[in-house]
Amino acid sequence: MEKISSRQLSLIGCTLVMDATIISVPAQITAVAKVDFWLAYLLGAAFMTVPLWMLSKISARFPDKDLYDIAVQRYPVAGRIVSLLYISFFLFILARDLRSIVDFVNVALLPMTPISVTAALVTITLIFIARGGIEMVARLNSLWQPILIIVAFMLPFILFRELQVRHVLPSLEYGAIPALKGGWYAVSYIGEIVLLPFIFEGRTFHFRTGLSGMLLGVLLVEISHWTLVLTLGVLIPIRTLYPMYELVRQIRLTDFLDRFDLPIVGIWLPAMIVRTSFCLFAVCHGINRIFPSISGKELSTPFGVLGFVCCFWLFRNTMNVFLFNGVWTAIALVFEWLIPLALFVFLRPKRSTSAIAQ
Amino acid sequence: MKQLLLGFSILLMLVPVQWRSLQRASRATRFVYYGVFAVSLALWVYTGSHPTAVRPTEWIRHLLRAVDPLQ
Repeated sequence: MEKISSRQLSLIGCTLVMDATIISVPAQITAVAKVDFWLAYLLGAAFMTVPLWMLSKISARFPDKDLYDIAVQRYPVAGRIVSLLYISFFLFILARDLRSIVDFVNVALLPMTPISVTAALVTITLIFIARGGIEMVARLNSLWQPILIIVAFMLPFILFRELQVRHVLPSLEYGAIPALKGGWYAVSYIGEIVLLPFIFEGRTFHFRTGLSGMLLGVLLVEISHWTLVLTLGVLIPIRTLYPMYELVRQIRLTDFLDRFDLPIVGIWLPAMIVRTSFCLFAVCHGINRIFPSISGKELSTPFGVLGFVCCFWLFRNTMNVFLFNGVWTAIALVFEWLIPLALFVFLRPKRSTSAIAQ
Repeated sequence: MKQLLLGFSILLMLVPVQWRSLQRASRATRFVYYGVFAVSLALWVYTGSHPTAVRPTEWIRHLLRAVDPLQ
């Protein structure tokens, strides 16, 4: 039995909320919410606390099982259908994140390298990480995510001289509607924390640890986004595809270290690869739970390759990934809100015959 | 043809690495393993050889554009 501590679980929650959100979502949230961007994440987090609580309650009812297990054992046919739906959901997130990583590397770091080569290298890394099991993925996450957290906390201090309060004023000028629109973009990314109960059994996954991970992730995204708007204002981020990268490019510590963006990208990229490997692991783990005779570990290679192919099939180019965020929430909410609600209602332990007789 | 060859070359590189563990795995594992590879290969060839390949995300975006706040 692989063991994961509460601290590791919180860090995984933080990874799921933060790492993919900071790629392009801040640009879209700023475009609709303008200076009220900060409210968008808070609304998203508040909205996602309820399904997280519901999922933790289901896990508490079956302490020795994860959600795939619970669904399949409680309702063999419907449970398998729901599990297959979640597997396709995680596979989609895997393909989207893989495409985001590859496009970012192609645009920012290696413009001459063919995109398929970069994608193949990242996919091979993902496969080897996921094959190691959840304990290995969690340990890798404990290695990279704390450094990324420190960097996110340091950002406002490093850029202190560039910060201008006039960029975030006047607040709530157009009421709550722009913030609600921004929340539409934030909620699906924050909601990806629903992956946790699918890979961890009830004994490991608790509401408090999940919530602390989610809140830490939201806090870090807030800090990064505040620094972004205070430094660059509202107009520059909405015209860029990778606003956070534009922000870290502003950092010039000394005359000798004018490319401080490279070490920061060097920390974010492995953390993002680890995040994506959680999705690959969730896919393979789900297949193993639905069909116990199939080895999840062996399937990490073909499903990694399927994710690689899907990242090119599903998204024609970088803009495709970016624009899809607008409608993605409508689909994601089915998996992050509606199905958890249905699972909360229907997934209860069977009553024993003696209990019924009493 | 070029896409097909590229796809097969990736398969030829990956399968020998896992050959031994695959032989020890169950028949169902091997079936799903090669099945998912076959689907991936078919998608890869389709995406690479058709410049106007059908992409579900574009279709979904068109279908749900009313809910997009930026539209």
